[in-house]
Formats: sequence, structure tokens, C-alpha cells
Amino acid sequence: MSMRRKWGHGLANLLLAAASLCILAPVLLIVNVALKSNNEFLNRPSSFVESWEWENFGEAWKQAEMGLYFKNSVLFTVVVALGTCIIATMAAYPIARKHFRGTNVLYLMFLSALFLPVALVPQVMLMKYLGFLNTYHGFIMLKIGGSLAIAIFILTGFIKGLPKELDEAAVVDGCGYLRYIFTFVFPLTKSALSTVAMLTGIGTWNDFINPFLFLTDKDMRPLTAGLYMFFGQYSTNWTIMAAGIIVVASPLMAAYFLLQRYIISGVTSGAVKG
Amino acid sequence: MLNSNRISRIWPVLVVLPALFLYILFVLLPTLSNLFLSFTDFTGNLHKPLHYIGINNYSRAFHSDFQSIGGAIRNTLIFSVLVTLVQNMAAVLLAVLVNLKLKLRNIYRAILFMPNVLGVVIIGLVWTLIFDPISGPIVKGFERMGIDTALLGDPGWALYLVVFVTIWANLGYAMVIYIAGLQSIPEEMYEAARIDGATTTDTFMKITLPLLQPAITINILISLIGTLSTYDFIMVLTNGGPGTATMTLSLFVFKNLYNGESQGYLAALSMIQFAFIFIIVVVVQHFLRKREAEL
Repeated sequence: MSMRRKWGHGLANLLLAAASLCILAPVLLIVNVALKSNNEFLNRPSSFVESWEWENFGEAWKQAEMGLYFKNSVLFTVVVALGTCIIATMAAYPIARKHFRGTNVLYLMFLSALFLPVALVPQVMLMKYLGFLNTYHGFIMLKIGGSLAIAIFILTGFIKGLPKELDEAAVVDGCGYLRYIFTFVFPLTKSALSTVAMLTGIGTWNDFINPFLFLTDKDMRPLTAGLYMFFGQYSTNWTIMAAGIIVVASPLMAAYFLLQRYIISGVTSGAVKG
Repeated sequence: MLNSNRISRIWPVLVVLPALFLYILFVLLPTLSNLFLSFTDFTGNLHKPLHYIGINNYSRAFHSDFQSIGGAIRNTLIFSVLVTLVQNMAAVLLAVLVNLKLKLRNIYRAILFMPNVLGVVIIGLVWTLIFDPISGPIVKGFERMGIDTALLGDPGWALYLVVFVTIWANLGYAMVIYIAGLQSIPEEMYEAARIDGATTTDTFMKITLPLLQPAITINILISLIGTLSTYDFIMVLTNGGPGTATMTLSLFVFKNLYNGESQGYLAALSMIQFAFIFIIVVVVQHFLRKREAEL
């Protein structure tokens, strides 16, 4: 039995290592290209890197104007994640506690957005006629609006599990409703909030279609859209393109490998609870 | 007391308002007007009068334009079914292996899940370079094996390569859901099976798979909804081409958004797409839940 088990584990390791290699190989290949000089790439595109051109990264950063895009990406990600957390908690708390009539209907209404089709045609019209195209506030509001459903779903479920006794103590104290949400509910929902922040943060950072549609002005673009446009313009310079991909991917990879346990459970939490 | 009573009635409603406002403005209003616009000849210019034209937009999609839309529906179905089947079979296998209490299980899990944080553009561009038909590494390898193809530029290959990249990107997500499902199966069931002398295949078929059914349902639905509605991946990889080889229904709607096409017609197309997804998901869910109940 134990002998069989050992063999079984060996085989499992082999299969998993092969699968992991399949996932890592494309990324490693791109890193390999990103480190080559253009000359080396043209002569030996697939061999292991020899020239170690670290300047490629700086060159990609400069040529693709990533400084600006990076700033935009950080701004959108932080504000959308924070805004979603605050606005969704403010809605989720009275809904979870059924503090007024109709909270159930309201909850179902928010939830229906998870299944509703994205209505691109009217959305483009709406953004255009509100004057929200190429504005920070317009894009941020659109993204928060789109993130609310999953956020309210996660937060309402979580708040329902918190003891009600705390609420009553606060009412006796005469604590204001809004102040109560900010000083009591927020700290108590920390773990659910970090999930929401992670989900909306990763979603906003990686979003490409919405910036493509609503941030057509070059100065407003986040990294994803900037990188995509850069590819269209410089599609011949492979080493710089590869370096560009790595520059955009590295903050995500760094955050992921530091926080992978939380990110994995956070990103999949919506699915498992659903 | 009276005062605090009044406050506690108004404030719960007030704090919901920001969420409600954003939700109505950016989600509900566009969705409802989409339905409305699909019955009109809306051009995209709000200053021109709208006309109600009944189901003209819908009949146009199913008659005069059926050539292109039928092709897009065919591609969508091939893409969706292939990704869903292969991805779930592979993910169950990997989840079972990761769940074997191996020493490196956390590292495997972290690596396999990684593409999920990379996002559409990075993944799309990575594979665009790798599948490059001139200097990409895959094409060189194929040349040596005597296979002649332009990969993403080859109408016979492109759709299957897009399927492959989609599975590559989403496999880890499905696997993590299956791992959670596996961990909810009580250890005693396996011990009892072992005592009764059940083989590994027996345990897998008679215990693991049936008890994993809820996770299978969730995963199949997630991957169906995802594959039936995504277009950003395909847009970055092939932009629907070569020709219309990878054109799906959702990408078709998206690409025509700026082609001067009647916006009413596009609204009708997205309603058709929604109905298409809705029907498939309802049928599949019914079938899967019935299976769950039978087990």
C-alpha cells in the first residue's frame, strides 16, 4: 500500500509539475525575449538569453509612456476599490439588517446585475451625453456602479453573520447611524472588505474594454489600454514589446505571490458562495 | 427618544442612496433602454427623432444578416462547449492531484491560479508573441516537425488556439473551486471505502465525482456564462479574424459599435445574445441540478 502510495504521489507530482510548467513557460519565454538585445533576438530568437539587456525595460517604460499610464492605473484602481467598499457597505448594512421595508426587493435588484447583460449601446450614449467620456470622475463612477452587485452580495452575506447585539448597544448609546457604520461596521467587516477591494481592484487594474470605450484620450489611459495601443504602433520591435508586457505584469505578479493565499480565496469567493 | 427614532428611519434609506443612484444610472437604465432601443431605428444621434419599428431589427438579424450572425453563433458554440468540457475535465484532475497532500501543493496551486490575476491584455499579448507566425517559438517548433500553419492567422487553427489560451487562463480558477469542493467531502467516506477494498477508480467514480457535483454545476455555469459573453480575449488575440474564423456573437456586437451601424440594430443583437445565453444557462442548470438531486 505504502509503496503504491509513493508511486501515486510521484506520478501526481510529475503531472502537476508538467501543468505548472505549461502555465509558467509562456511567461518565462517572454522574460527571455525581454532581456535580449535586438540583434541577439533577430539571430537567435529562441535560445537562452546571453546579452542581458536590462535597458529594454527602461526603454519600454519610456517609449510606451508608462509613467503616465501607471499613474492613471493606480488612481483608478485605488479610488474604485475604496469607493466600492464604502458605498457598498453603506448599502449592505441596512439591507442585511432589514432596517426598512423593501430591503429584500432592493437586494434582489442589486443582485440582478450579476445576470443582466452589459448594455454597451446605451452605456456609450449615456457616457457621451453626460459628458463623462475621458473624465476621471465619469470612469470611476461607471466602474463603481459596475462593481456594486458583487460587493453588496458579499458584504450583505457577511454582515448577516455578525451578531445583532452590537447594533442595539450602539442605538442605546445614541450613536448616529452613519457614524455607526463607519466606526463599527467597517472594522467588523474587514475580512469581507478586503475580498471586495481585491476583486474590484484586480478587475479595475486589468479592465481593458471600458478604458478602450470611455477613455479614448491618450492622457487618460490606464496601463492595459496603453500597452495595447503600444503594441499596435510598434509591432516590429519584439524585445521592447516583451519588456513592456513584463513591466505591466510585474506589479501584479509581485502582489500575487506575496498575497496569493488571500487573493485566491478572495477572487473565488463570489463563485463558491453563489 | 422621538428624535432618535425619526433619525433611525431616514438614515438607513439615505445611506443606500449612493449605491442605488450609481446602480440605476449605470446598470439598470442602460439595460432597460437597450430593450427599448432594440425596437427602434435609433441611429446614435439623440437629436434625430426615434421611430418604433417593431421587430424589424430582430428579423433583420435572422433573415438578411443570418449569414454572418449564424457563423458567429456557430463559433460561439464551438468555443464555449470546447472550453467548458476540456477545462472542467482538466481542472477536476488537477484538483484531485493537488488535494493529495503533496509537499508542494501550495506552490502548484499558486502557479496554476496565476493567469487569473494577469488580465486579458497581458495574457492576450503574451500569446500573440508566442503564436507569432514569423518569429514566434511555436511556429519554429512546428516547422521542424513539418507542420505548416500561420497559427492565429490560419482560419483552420485560430479558433482552437483561442480555446487553448482561454483554458490556459481559466484552468486555475476552476481548479480552486474544485479543491474547495473536494475538501468538503468527509475523510471518513474514503476510509470506509478503503476498508471495503474499493479501488482508486471506484472511489473516484462512486464517491469523489458524485459529491463534487455542486462544484461541477458552479464551474460549468461560470465557464458557460463566461465563454458565451466574453469578447475582450478574442479581441486582443485575433480581433475576430482571420476573416470571421473567430468571430463570436458578443465580439460581433462590440465590433459593430463604431461601424456606423444602426444602434437600434446593435441593441437588438445584444438582446439576442442575452436571450441565447439565458436559454442555454437555464437549460444546463436545470439538467445539472436534476443530476445533483438524483445523486
